[in-house]
Amino acid sequence: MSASNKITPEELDHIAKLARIDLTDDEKKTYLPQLESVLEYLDILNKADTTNIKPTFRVNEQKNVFHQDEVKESFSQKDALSTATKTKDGYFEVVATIKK
Amino acid sequence: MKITPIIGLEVHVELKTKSKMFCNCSAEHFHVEPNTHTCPVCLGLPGALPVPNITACEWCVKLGLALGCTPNETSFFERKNYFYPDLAKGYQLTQYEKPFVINGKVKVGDQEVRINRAHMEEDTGKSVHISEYGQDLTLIDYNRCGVPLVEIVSEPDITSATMAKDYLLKMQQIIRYLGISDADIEKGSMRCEPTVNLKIEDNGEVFYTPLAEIKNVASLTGVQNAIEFEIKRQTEEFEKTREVKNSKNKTTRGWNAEKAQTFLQREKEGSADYRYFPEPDIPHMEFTPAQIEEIRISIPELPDQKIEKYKSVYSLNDYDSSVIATDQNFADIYETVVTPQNRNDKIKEFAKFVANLFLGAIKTHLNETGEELNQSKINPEYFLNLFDSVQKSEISSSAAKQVIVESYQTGTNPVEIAKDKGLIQVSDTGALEKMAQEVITANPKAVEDYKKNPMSIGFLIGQLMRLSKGSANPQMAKEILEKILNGN
Repeated sequence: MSASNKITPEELDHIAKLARIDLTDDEKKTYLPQLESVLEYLDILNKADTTNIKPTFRVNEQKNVFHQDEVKESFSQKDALSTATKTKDGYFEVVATIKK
Repeated sequence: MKITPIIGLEVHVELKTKSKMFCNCSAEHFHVEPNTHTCPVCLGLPGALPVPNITACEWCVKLGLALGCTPNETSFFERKNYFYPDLAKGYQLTQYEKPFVINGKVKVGDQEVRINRAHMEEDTGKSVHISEYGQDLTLIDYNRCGVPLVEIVSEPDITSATMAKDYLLKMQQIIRYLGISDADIEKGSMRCEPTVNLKIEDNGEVFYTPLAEIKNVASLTGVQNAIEFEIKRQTEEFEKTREVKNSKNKTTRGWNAEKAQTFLQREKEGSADYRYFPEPDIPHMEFTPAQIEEIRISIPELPDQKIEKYKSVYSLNDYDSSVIATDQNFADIYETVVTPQNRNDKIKEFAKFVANLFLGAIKTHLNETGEELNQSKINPEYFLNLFDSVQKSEISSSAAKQVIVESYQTGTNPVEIAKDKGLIQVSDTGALEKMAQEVITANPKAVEDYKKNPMSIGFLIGQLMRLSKGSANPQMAKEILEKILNGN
């Protein structure tokens, strides 16, 4: 990320595309300054001297937490699909991902 | 213009653990009712906590060690973010900065392919594309979502489609020896994505064509054809446009097996677009040197080691050695018959004798019946008996091939079968001399012929074989006849 905390309209479009959201022109006008202010805040954080400080990945110091390779009960198909907007024949139904 | 293909392969292998990578749902998904092996973790429901599968992690390290990789002291998972319906969470848990193992190599023929890394990740769900009332729909089954997947990334050391195929076969062999996956390309438990570009030397100048990553290759022939096609396409493209690779023109191309061509899928997302970051919900993983050693010890003798042993200890040739080592079951059974202690001074002859039977008669029989070699049908003692009989010329090599298959099917000692079928050769000099005398007395004309033309002895040998009902050792019959006739 550049030191500048300006976001170009193209960058905003790109971020929106990665997040799979459509933004209207009005929304872009609202979000652009908001995102820039987030970057401004990060600029402040970036000023902190972190030489010799180990990166923090998580809040505790645990390591090696695993599950044993055993099968336990899963959701029923009905429960699995219960929150889906649309289902068909036991599947989640979504907009076609490939064009035929 | 000199063209050298530069090919790197990403191989994905689905591990055959019982449960999924980060939850205890069953990892089985082939021919299973859709969406019956899911839970909050693999459906990516809010608040779910992923916990890595210890067996999958150990197997990833095991595979890495078998590929000569070095384990990282510390390893962790990261989130690879992208939105696609088959990825429930909106990110894939994978390893980026610290994979389990790095820097290995694999021997492919006389060449070596360096391995950049092998890391652990999770599979996505399965999409089914249908049309209904003229409308295209995609249906998602999350049973496969979260199944453990190891990705093995090679360096671009592969220089032809054939070498790519050999690399994949080698990888498949090693994985199957380790028993961590079926590595079946057709069934999708082993998938391969080649990245191809060309080094073009033209009039003292060197050019590199833009990288193309090829997706959707679902068979071994597909991999070869896709690479061949891509080499041709890039050559033609370069001649037209002279475009060379840069950091922005890598593309992803799909393979259409029906049309036998690759097509542009999408401009490749840069890795920055995946916004990788360490998964905060899964603690780091560290294997102690003792644990690594324990995993290393659990690695069985691998094909390369077996081939080396067959060549050096048993003096088998390259071909026999590699074919025996192709399949672990086959190789292991061969080694229950041929052990370094067998027939000490004649071990090499014995090893070759058994190799010929295994790769000839027995393999043909297995191919015909579609069976796998079955240890319980192989009695090492029988092979020793048969070998000794052939050594003593009691049984001919061709008869040995015949009886060994029957022995394999019925469990009877092949020497007994040979006796029952009258396949035991008479090599008793006294008995043969008696028969030879009889043949000579009965065929004065043939004896005359022989005196004029020694090549005509075949008739007398034939008569002797007939008299012995086929049991005479033909070589000895010839020698004894000659001795008597020339002595007269």
